Amino acid sequence: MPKATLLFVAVQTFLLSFGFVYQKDWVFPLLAVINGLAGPIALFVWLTSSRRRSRGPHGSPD
Amino acid sequence: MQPTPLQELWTGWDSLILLAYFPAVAAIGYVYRTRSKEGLAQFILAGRALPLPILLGTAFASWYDTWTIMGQAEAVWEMGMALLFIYILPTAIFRVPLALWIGPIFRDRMPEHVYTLPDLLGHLYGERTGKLSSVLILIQLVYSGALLFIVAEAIRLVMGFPIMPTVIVCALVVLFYTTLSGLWATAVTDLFQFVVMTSAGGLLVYFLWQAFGGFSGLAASLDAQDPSLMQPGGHESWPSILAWCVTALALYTSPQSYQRFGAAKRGKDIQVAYLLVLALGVAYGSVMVIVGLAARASFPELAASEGIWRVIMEALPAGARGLFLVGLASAAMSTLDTDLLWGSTVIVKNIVHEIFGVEMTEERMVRANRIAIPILCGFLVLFTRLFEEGVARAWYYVGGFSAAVFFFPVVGGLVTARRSERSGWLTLVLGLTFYVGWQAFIAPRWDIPSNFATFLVSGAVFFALLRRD
Repeated sequence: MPKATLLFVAVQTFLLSFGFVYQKDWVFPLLAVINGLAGPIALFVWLTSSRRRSRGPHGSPD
Repeated sequence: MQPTPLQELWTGWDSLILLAYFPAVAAIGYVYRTRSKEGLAQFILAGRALPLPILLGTAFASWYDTWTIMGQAEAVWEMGMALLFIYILPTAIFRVPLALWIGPIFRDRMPEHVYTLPDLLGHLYGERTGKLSSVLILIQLVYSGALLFIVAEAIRLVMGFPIMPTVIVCALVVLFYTTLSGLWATAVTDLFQFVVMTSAGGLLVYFLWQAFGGFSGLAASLDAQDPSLMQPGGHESWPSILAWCVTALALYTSPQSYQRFGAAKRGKDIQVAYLLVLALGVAYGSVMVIVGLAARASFPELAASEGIWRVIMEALPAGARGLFLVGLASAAMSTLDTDLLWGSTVIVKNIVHEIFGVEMTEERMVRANRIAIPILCGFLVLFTRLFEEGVARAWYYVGGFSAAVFFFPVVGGLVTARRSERSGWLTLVLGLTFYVGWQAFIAPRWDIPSNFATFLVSGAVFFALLRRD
């Protein structure tokens, strides 16, 4: 998992640097998507994992 | 009194969103109050059990603050897109080792009694270094005053409210949930604040894209004003670029970082959460670069903060403006709650208990923290007055000082077994003395910033004093 995350950091950093240096207009929608989705995804993961934990492995409280 | 052009854009929907935010955050704190009743580790480290998504949210919300939003946009107004290349990107790259190694080492290899940064330095170099760092580290709290000031100034600009009452309302809400529930409440509220901050950032850049069509809509005006605004190096001098890079290292010395590391379930969670935070921090900072450029291109005749708010308010539709202001308040409050929590822990545990020798049980320490938090909050409200002239360089000075003085004792101490008691103590003492001397006598004459000069000297002293055996 850290390797995949590291790759994500590297690709995103490269894309944004390239986009800013060469003033590519696609930087704007790319930033809108990354920023717009990050929070809701984290919230969704937390809510679903905490619900799973509270139900326990077979639907009973753990 | 006639409303300003900014105040005319503010609608009832925006006010409703802003007013709903404060009770919502306080309610989350109230819900989590029961989790803080089981001792000091529960109160200040959430029982060392924060799950990964919350760790991500709290790390982001406490690292990226109102300076990341308004301070960076103001710096871009002055320096152009160079800020991305001399601060935002180096910040992310320089912090990769913090996420991959330093955080996990702190979480997995330090003894359970190490809660705070002074605890860590005391553990690595002995009692006197721990005690000196307890006092020095509190300087970082001054920065919270800048964060609160930014929110209050924004609300004054768009709604016409006076600054001090807004500062007090924000501080009271933070005080309520931090005092009641400790780190669990601050971490969960931080996750919600992270969602608000990033969503508002995403919306803003989308509407700026609609308004300007991309860089092509900004380039003509900016090139006509100053071609260096659109150049990666800008017109900053080399010493200034290096000084910005040094401030990027400041989070290695930030007490809030180590508090979060200590609260994680395990080191591997820190690696994933903090790497994602770095990537999202670049994406979020880049939005503010675009905001700063758009403001400078559209309203060069206005003052920086007014031009930035004008471009934000004109780009966003009704409702989204309120959400953006909530994002700004979230950024300030999520950092303020963190600062109050580590600040009160340092005051109670490291200063009152260890320096003044007041004996305390864990239960009494939690109670003392609950008394220290409101007192500290009062001081932070007063510190807002220091930033009435502007906040663009607030982090440059506070972060720069911390990185210059603490970086080598903290990071060096965690990664090398050849540290000695002398190396930590003397690096700290000489670093502090050198910074003060350089700032007073040399910085006004030479174009070499104090934080950069001190960083070099501090590194040289630390390595020279390492054990040779």
